[in-house]
Amino acid sequence: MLYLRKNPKLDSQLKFYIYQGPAFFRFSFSQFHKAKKWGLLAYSNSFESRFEYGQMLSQDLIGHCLVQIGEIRKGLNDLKQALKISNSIGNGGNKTALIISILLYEVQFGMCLKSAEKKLYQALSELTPEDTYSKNEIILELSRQLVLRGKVGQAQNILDQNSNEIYKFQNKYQAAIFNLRYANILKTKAEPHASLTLLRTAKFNLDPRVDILAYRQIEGLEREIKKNLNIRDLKDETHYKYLNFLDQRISGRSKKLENRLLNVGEDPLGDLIDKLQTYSIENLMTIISSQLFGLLPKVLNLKMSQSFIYLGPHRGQMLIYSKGDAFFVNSGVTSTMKKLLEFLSQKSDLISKQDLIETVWEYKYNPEIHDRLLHSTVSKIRKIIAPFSSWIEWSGGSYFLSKQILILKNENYLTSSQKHFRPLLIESKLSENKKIDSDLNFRQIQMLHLLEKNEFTDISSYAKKFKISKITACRDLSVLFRKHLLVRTGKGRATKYLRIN
Amino acid sequence: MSEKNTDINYLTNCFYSGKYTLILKQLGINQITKEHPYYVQLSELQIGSLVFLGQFIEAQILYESILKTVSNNEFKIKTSFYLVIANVRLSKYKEAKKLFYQICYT
Repeated sequence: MLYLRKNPKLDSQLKFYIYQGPAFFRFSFSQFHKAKKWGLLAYSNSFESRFEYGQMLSQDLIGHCLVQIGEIRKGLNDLKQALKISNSIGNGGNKTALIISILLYEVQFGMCLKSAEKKLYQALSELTPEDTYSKNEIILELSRQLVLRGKVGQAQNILDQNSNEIYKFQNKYQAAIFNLRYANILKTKAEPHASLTLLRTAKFNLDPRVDILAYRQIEGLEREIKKNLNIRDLKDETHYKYLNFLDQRISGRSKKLENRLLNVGEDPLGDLIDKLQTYSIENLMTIISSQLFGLLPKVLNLKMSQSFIYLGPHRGQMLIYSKGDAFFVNSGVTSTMKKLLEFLSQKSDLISKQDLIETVWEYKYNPEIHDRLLHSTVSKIRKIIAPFSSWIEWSGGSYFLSKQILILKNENYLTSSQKHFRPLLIESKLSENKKIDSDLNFRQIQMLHLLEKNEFTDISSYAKKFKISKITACRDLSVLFRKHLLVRTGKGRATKYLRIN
Repeated sequence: MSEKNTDINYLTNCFYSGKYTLILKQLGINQITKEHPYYVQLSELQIGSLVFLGQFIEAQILYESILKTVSNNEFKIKTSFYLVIANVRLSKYKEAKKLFYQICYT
């Protein structure tokens, strides 16, 4: 500080500028401790000269530094003090920026876990169109929060809608974070290669010596994806050599940060994420109460791109997760529904309706009554898992579960055997005269019974009897004809169907 | 047309209240005439306002053109501070570093 040394009796207000500039510069280089030191000098000089504008700027910077070095509550307190000053001098621009900063930190560190999403949307709606920087910051944090909450689709939509504005603003850091967030979404959606491309772009936008923390996040995600894909080439090795060197620097820095962050309570969301690493009912309940459904794969030890239904954690409840999108069914899931889903997941080949009825309901199969039971149960399940109803498919006369879907449950939660199913065949109350093909539907079976009494039918009366369209009636009767259960006489409108003795 | 208010106290208060648009409305974005008694101080406010409104290129051009005729250290320190902010926001760290040294070793 040559100028200061030469002019020791310099005006305090000018001293503020001399100290605040380097403080801001150090802060931008992630040198938070140094920045805080300069910031404190700037603050004391602005305080001395009663320069409120300077007090506001320096306290704002000190607050940010404290948050970055892990003293989050203290930092937030300083930011709130700066907000008070900006109110008193009527600096609207800084006031908005400070309000947004405080909100973003509170959301980022989980100090308003349940209302975070709502608060971010509200802040977004209250911003003026010119406030692009703050808007972008909110969008980027919102997308992170949505992913954590198991709303990847929504997060992707928000990023898609705002991508133009973020790039247009030309802030390289924001552009890189945008790419990082999008890459994470693509990774969740099982698009690792696209994700890697975006991460490369993100790195291109950053200076590893300056944007250390962001660069570290990008590297972390990149390595995770590469590990999953088993990608390692010569180029990567050299690249990693450089990174290892860099990591040492970073880890030194992060150690300092982590030591500070060990202070439990400073970062409630971080504490929660650290806690939710292993499977337990308690952890699942924490996820449900905090709505951090994005952490489900971690707790259940699954890949983020895995789709699954978790049959629990309690009676009547179910958790559904598909490539980052999750939702919780709090009640209405019966034990039969769970049993049916579990059974469908255990069979790789097609299961007959008879098997399903006899294993899940433990009834002796009677298509006349049990087909309806099966169809209505599946229909109820499909309603419950509405966005993913296509997971339960109908083919070849029975139901099956899409192959990529896992069904998990509480005890020994990954269903790998059928040991829990000990089918007890219970005689149905209705008499079973003959062995009837389980591929037939209840209408066809009922019709066969009727026709045993030397009756005949045609398409119109069949359609009228079961209140179905003539096309469906024609299809039903044709199946019976092809299976040689009926004979067909006549042509065109005069076609009649008779039972073969 | 209303007359421009170039009163230094009024504009300084406007600056500290964050009324940057108003300052630029009064001073414009072009260089102020050197004959103005508060030419240096007003230029500082002008550059600061441009930076805080995101018009970084204009701020830089104005700074360089004023620097040709002014060798006032106070001006250099204050405007360098604003331009450090501008350059960091644009991730132009080399330029920011130059200005940082300018503040420290003026």
